[in-house]
Amino acid sequence: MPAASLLTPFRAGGAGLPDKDRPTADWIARLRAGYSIDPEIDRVLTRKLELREGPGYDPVPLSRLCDGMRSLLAGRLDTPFDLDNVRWLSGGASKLQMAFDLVWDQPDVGPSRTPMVLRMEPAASVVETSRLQEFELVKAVGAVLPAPPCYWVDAEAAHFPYPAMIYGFADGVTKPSGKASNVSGFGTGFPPDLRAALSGQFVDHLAALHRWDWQNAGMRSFDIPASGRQAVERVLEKWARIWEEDVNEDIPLFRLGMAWLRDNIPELDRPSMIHGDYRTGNFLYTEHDNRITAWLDWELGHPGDPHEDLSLVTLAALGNYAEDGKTFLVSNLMPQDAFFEAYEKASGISVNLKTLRYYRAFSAWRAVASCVASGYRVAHLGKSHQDIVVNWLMALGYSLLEDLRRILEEEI
Amino acid sequence: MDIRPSLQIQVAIKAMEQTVLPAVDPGNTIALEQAGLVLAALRVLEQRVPLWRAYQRDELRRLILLAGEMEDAREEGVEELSALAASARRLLDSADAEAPELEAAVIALRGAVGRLLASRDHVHRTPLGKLVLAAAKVQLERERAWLVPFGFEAGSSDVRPIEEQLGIL
Repeated sequence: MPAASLLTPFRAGGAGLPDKDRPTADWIARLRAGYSIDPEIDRVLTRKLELREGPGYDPVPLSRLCDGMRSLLAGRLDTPFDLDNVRWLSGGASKLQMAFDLVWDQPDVGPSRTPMVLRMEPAASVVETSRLQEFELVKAVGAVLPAPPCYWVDAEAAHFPYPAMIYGFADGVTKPSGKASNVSGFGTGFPPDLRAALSGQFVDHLAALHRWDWQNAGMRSFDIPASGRQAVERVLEKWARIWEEDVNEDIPLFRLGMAWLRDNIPELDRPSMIHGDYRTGNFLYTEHDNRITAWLDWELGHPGDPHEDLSLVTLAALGNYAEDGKTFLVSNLMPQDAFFEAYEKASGISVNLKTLRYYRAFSAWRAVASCVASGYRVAHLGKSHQDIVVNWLMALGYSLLEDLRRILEEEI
Repeated sequence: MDIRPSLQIQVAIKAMEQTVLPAVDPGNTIALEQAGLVLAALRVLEQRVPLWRAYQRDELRRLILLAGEMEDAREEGVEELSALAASARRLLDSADAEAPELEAAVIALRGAVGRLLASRDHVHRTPLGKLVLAAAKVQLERERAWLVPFGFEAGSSDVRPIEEQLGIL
């Protein structure tokens, strides 16, 4: 064992550094003051820090969630109801999901058996987001592309252990039945005929989202940015703050990327609504007709530049090669050029390659914050229902860092 | 004492493969996924645990080098980093330094570099930024090679095996 004097310089929390496992009120206040972000997101991140020293995630039995559902529905429905076929859903790496059938007298419909999903945060997530914003967004966006119907939200965890929302269970699969993929839909391969059927829908839905007049869709939890530039600045600052809050082993390249991104924000006239995680693995399709039935995981939705979604779609780490071993398919669906051409035609929005490059760097950068920084903190503190999944996904962060490095190497 | 980590990992892998995984209820998809990941994590540990100390020593050497380059470039504000690098050199020279101590030194040095970058406006335009970018290339080659078993490198033919990079073959 080396002498203590050799170790002293390296002790955690030394030299006035914050103990991130035990955030102080002063540190939280400084973080809030130092980063200008959407007020609802500030509330969510602050809540995360205030609860950080509390218990890790304890398994929540299905019976507890059923009790929560009964409590919530008792206040919302005037007629009898029952919960049936209650079970866990796996899939996403950040949220707990319970599927069930609600047997009820559905307003304007009559006696129904409606498949639903309760989506709840664990004690902390790799992606800390607002259930209220997600609920409002999914509810509203169904007007322009397939999204699950939304029923109720418990934003303050009045009925459930953590904030939760309830939406309709959509038919379909994320990958061909019987086919393996890596966690959370990464690495899903589609055969050529299926790719042909899905690609057009993939593009059309994205175009519809980016053309959508979201500012007049009644989503009160979203603060409307004063300008396109402010929309982008808020997003950058959000992820910069998350990095400070969560990272354990700092990554100098990440900070270099942060500086470059802040300094090179592209012009944006009108912020679109961005999905934030638009990729294979986040849509359901029915196998008998290859129709996309629902886009999922809207929690990262925010006002921003459409190129942000385009860049994630085309991230190298999220695609694969076609059967010829040479043609790279973005989001495992289609060659990049074909994707851009179809998107421009469907949306009327021109793809600016310089802006796209910026958002390639941004998408890789912010995904690193999520995978590596938040992934570390969540798994280390035992805050989720699947720390082992979260830990596994940290490895993706290093592939994404390489994407970021290559762009910065050419730009700097 | 023969109960070594290598043997423990080996028998844990076998238990997961032959006894635990086959017994998991196929309808419990969360349990199935996590049990599969436990097995995968054990396999990674089997390959990587023997290399961890060499990996940390390699990274610490390069961080010390980076600190030296910053001093040579007469960058302002490098005092904290220089002091930590000096301590890290003594640690590397100590025959008793174990992996956790090396880890702590790596984390401290990375943090100091990060604070230096955060303190500069437009740091990407400075010589400091270029030094960090160059160092990142080598660092990421190591990290990506280490993480190949996790399956996120799509056709990563550009990544040399970690054993080769660490000079262990």
